[in-house]
Amino acid sequence: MNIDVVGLVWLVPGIPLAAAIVNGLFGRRWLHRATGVIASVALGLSAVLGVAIFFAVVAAGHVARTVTLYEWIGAGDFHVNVAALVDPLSATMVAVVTVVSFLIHVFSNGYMEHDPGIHRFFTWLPLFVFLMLTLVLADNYLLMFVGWEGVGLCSYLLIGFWFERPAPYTAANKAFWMNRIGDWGFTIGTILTFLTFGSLTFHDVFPKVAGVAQTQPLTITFIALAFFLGATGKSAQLPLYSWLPDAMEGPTPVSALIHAATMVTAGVYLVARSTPLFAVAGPALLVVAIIGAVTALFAATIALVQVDIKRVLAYSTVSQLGYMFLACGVGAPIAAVFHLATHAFFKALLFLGSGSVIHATEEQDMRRMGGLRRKMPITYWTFLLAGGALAAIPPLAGFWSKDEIVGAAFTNGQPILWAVGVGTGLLTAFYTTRMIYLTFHGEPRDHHLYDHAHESPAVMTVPLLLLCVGAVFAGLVLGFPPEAGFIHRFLEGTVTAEAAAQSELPNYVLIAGLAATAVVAGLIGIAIGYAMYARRRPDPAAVSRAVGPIYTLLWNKYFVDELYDHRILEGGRALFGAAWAFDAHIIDGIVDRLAWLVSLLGSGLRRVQTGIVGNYALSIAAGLLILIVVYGGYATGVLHR
Amino acid sequence: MTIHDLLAVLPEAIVTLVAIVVLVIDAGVGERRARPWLPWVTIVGLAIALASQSWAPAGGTFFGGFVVVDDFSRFFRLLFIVLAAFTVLVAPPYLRREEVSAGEFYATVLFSTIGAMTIALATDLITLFVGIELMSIPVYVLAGLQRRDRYANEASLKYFLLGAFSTAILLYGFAWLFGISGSTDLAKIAAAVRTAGLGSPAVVVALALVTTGLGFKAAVVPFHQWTPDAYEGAPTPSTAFMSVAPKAAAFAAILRVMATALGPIQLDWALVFAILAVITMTTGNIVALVQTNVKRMLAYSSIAHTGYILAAVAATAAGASAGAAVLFYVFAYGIMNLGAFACLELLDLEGTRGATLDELNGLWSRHAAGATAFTIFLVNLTGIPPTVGFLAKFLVFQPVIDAGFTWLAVAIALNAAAAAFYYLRVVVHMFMYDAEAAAPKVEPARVLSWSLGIASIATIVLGILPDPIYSFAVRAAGPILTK
Repeated sequence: MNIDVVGLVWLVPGIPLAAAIVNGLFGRRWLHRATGVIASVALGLSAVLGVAIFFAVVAAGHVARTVTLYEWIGAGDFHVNVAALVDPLSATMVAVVTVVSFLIHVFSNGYMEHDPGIHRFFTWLPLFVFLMLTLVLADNYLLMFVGWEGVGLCSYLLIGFWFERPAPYTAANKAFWMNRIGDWGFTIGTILTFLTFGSLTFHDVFPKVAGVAQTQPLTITFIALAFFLGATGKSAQLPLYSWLPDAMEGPTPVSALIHAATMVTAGVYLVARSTPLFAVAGPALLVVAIIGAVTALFAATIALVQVDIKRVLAYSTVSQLGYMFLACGVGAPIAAVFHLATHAFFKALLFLGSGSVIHATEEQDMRRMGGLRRKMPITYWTFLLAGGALAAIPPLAGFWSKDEIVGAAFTNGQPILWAVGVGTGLLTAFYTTRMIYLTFHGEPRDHHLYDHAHESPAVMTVPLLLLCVGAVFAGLVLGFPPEAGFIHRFLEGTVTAEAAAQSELPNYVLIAGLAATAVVAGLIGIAIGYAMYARRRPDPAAVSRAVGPIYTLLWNKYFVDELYDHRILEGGRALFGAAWAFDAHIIDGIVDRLAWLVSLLGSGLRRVQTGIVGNYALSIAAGLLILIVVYGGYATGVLHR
Repeated sequence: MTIHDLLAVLPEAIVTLVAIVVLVIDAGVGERRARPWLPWVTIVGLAIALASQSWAPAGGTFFGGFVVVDDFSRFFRLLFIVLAAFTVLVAPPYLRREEVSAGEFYATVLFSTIGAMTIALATDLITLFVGIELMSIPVYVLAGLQRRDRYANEASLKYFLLGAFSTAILLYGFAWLFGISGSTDLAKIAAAVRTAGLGSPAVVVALALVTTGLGFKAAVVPFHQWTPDAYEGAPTPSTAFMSVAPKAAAFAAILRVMATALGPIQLDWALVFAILAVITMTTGNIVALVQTNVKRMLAYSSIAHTGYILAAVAATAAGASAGAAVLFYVFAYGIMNLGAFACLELLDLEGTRGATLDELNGLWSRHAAGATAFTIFLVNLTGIPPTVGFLAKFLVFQPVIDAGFTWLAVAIALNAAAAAFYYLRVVVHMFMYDAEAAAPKVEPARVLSWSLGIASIATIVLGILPDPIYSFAVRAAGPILTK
């Protein structure tokens, strides 16, 4: 029996959508907590199918198949289909998204158990997965934009899930506005793409890119930068990063799924998908690399001093996304996708682990934790391994992917970016060590909290263990040997502009040397962390006093929020005020006048409607006469057409 | 006449048969016992009629050139059968409450449907005229079906008198066309008109008479004044049917006559039609703005929609896309307008005159599904995406601009924007105001509610997935408008 699994690809987003509809319609009244089971089963089916499609694509080699559901828009020369593009890149993304989503859905059954809004949660979460898969599978920019906007909407709804409290509400608004700026870039990019190439379908656009780049290099650069602006919004890069840490006000599984593993990687996916475009976009690629590297370093420094466990992870996510853009920018999109995949596992695991801790202690401030490893062994060990992956300790997943990125920066002639990458690695290792020590080691600093802590139920720990498998082995399975692992062979030709003729073996001596440098940097970071937080030599408080101004700067996150809030928002408010006044007085004034005129006219015309049949017949006859006169006028040439 | 000819009109024959069966059952079994299942007999009969097309000959001309079966006639068969079925599904609660004879109602709707289907089959003025009469006369009856209601009597009488008047004008126009060409065949008339040109006074007179006669049927301003009175006074289920099927049939006739027989002088009438379109949509919308009776407001709104469709007719120079726009709009309009009127059937109101805005206050809290369906239909009529109503308007723009009537496209856009005010005002009344003590009772009608629900969802599905209907419309417009 031979089933065409790829042809069934529409079921992958379809099943979560069905679950979202069922839960949305019947959740509040009848299903309640059963919504979680429905959503999890749906996501399970979707994940099985997603993985099956992944393997089908692996078996078939370099396929790129378009599965068209229907023609969506066909107006003149403008044709857009609702169609899925199944190729190695989208298949990888589908497998990662569905598997991680499934595990997080299962985990949420435990985490959200006592929340009265559970049906809302399990309506929006599968809806998010549907839209994310639409984004990933789209074969054109317009459909991708539908998914892009959709995941933004779900993110907004889920950040503000506890809308009764002010903080989530404000955070949701912030995310919304920052994403709007990015989405504006995406829109401009899409429109320019259509104007330049006459199509929005990847298969039509990309083959023409090289030709157009010869004649209109500036246009291509501008399109690439517009799309990258979109990517910085969605993927929280400088300067549009500050919504992501605030987004942690949402439930922790949401942070894990949307704000770590999937949605925030959409920007990276967009850039990787558009590699043919970016490859010929001149300086745009360098902009991507620099923004990525600077964001990676910038966010990592803020993460050094955060005390909220989720905020550390949030800044770490921003930093890791920066690595992915760095990879795209130095011409290593495969490494970017590779890191995206491994990061999805270990960062989802870190978030769920923190969720497990928060569920047990109802506390997010690490200063009040400590010693929890004895109470929560499974959470601790999985968290430790995921932290190791984040700190890029070999042979855990993060090591292989991050090392490729940093190595690519060096081999592609960007030694400064390489140094930034290595330095960020050191900081990453430090803040990871700090986080783990503050949370799980040492003596309990709040005994009340410690006494009530308990290991989470199996519905939460099993997903942790499964994700842990990914966090430990994904790097080895996908990326060994370096530069020539499975993911390279798989994605070659899809993500790279053309199948690079890599006949020669990678230079393993150089790779090993670079890797060793990075590992040493990581170990130094861990050592400093260990010395400061395990041995208290030097004491962290003393250190922060010694570097006073720097500490204040980091503690206040470089005062960026203040800058945005006070300067830009004030300017914005003034602008909004002016716009409102214009609308209220000029536009509404005109409209009011117009409405008054129209209603006067309406009342007049209403009077013509006398209700007397003779009058009506007269008007028909008059109309007929006018028609004869007009047509006669044409015929005799008195009137002109 | 061969068996082939008879098979070609099999769907029409089956609908006729169903109408007779309904009357016989009604008379034989008795009103009371027949009432619950007469709608289902009608629906099954209509379904068989639709399915019977597969046994009919694939296409071609029949009855010696009097009848043609092509994608155009098949499109309208589908539309008219759907509209008749929808009418029958939503009518029973009203008919029961107002003690209108159910058998008579269904049979009359079916007879009118046969006439409408015949119009779409016509390639000859005789067939066309028979179809128009066959469709119109039952509609006059439908308007007056509530014999003891004086508004229904008024509606019926006015509609009949003015209908007779305009039919005479139309027939006179046909006579002139016959005089010019010596034939009633549309293709032969086209040839004669091409030779004569607009220089011939006979063609001028014929053109004006035909424009007036067909304009009356479609409710084009200034031949529209019967519409609000007839729609308002007629029993609501009749209004629902009257507002869609005869209008769709009128546009079938307009396309057949104007685009085929008078196609050669298309340049001469296109601008007149474009101006009529603007006058029609603007008048309809402006007067609708000041209505407080929702039924009457919807009557004026249907005039406005005539204007939008007429704009696409005026753009026939743009080729098949214009014809497809007309057909798609007529289809979309049929479902959304019938649905909107049918929503009024949810309310138990005195007499025939429909609901005032205040009587709809708070409908949301009393019948959530009904208020939601009504809202969806109104959103359709406004033309807001992703509904089919939006798509229908959108599809009109392209041919109108292609035909060089940019100002007409601007007029449509302005009108659509203004119309949003009175459509959405109804929504505001349903959702934001509290019901008054004297608010009319809500009908507990299951089939009605389900039909409204399905139809309202269908308008959204068609707005997102228009393809089966739209590509059918493109094919159907082919034989009429090939450039």
